[in-house]
Amino acid sequence: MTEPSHRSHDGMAGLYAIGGLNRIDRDRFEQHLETCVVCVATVTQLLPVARGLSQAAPTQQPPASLRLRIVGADSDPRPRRDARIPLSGVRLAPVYRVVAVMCLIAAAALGWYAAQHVTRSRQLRDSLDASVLRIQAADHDAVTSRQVARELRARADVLAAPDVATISLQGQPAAPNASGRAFLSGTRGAVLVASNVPPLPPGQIYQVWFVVPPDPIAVGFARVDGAGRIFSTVDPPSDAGIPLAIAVTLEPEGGAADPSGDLLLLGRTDR
Amino acid sequence: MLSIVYDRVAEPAYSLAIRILERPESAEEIVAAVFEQLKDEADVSNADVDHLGAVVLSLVRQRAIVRRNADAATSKVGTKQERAAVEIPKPTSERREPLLSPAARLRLQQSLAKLAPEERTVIELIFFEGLTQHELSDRLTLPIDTIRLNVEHGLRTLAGTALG
Repeated sequence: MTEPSHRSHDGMAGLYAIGGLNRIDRDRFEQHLETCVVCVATVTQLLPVARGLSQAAPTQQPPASLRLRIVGADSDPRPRRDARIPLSGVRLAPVYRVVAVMCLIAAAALGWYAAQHVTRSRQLRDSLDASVLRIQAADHDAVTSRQVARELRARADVLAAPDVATISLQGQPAAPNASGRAFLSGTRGAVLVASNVPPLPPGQIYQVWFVVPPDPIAVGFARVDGAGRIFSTVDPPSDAGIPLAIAVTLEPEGGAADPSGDLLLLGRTDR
Repeated sequence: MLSIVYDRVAEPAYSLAIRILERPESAEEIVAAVFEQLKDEADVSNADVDHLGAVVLSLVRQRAIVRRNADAATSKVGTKQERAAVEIPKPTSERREPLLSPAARLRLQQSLAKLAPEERTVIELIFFEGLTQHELSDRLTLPIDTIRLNVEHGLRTLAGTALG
């Protein structure tokens, strides 16, 4: 059996790895990646190939002028003739000695001036680093906000669907006080709401199943908050149809191919 | 440091730009512009060569595709617009792939050339021309499922033969 809602995204991992998805498809697939270990494994396997492709173009030698243009003549890798003049045995006329001393004084002054600039540029770089950190934090906040907005939009889509049906979820012996509802749309997915759900043991996850013949289908995961509440969207495969029942079980982190852990919530549909 | 990065990555970067743009003078311009961007925006002194090399290749690809699309639409796109279209990725904590050795590059080039034509075509059109699955489906008059299948199978073959 495949991972939750994996079938509708089959083959998208390769396109994602080499940049063949438009922004909308990419956002959808990234949302799917959060719950599908199969696709995460495929992307992880194919990303090095995608990176390698940027080095797979037929080899062309860049012109020497390009190196000069970018890194300048000072770091030209070709050996250069030594331009230094040996000083031993050279005697300067008095007038040139005065000029030489003046040059030394000017060089010292320039050195001091340059040192001031180095200090100032270090201060500016420190300030820039702090700004970059702030921007990164803001980026992270923006990403989090976008994810929250996406989840809320998905929940609203389901709840507003014209074909939405409500299924009551009853607590089972592993969670006798738990109860909840599932809002199920044949076209837009499902939303699960529950309360009094026991806290998750370490290394485990709540997994949501559609009970359909011949085998249950994993349709996603349910997150429980510190107060024992679940409010999660799941994205069943488009061909899953209306199930006989919806179940929530406790499974190892990463999810199971078939339900094997404790059953916590179960709700039967009218089908 | 910049000269070390240049010597490490200039050849694949320039080759990539020529592959996408098909014109040496445009390729040279793109590579120079990317290194300018790197000098301006990245902390070149502290980063490692492989990371900066990967950044250069990524920026060259993105900027060259922007230029290619603009050329195809016969619209003028200057280096400023290209620069605005791409960002230097920040170093991440994920495992970094080192740049390929010359032998590994050759192996990958040969494996790519030996792929089944229908797989090589879709991979090259996506990677070197920036087409999406929908654009490919229109251009090649193929179902999207076929395109997905060809891309993934081709990439898996490359992973097994060239990078395995």
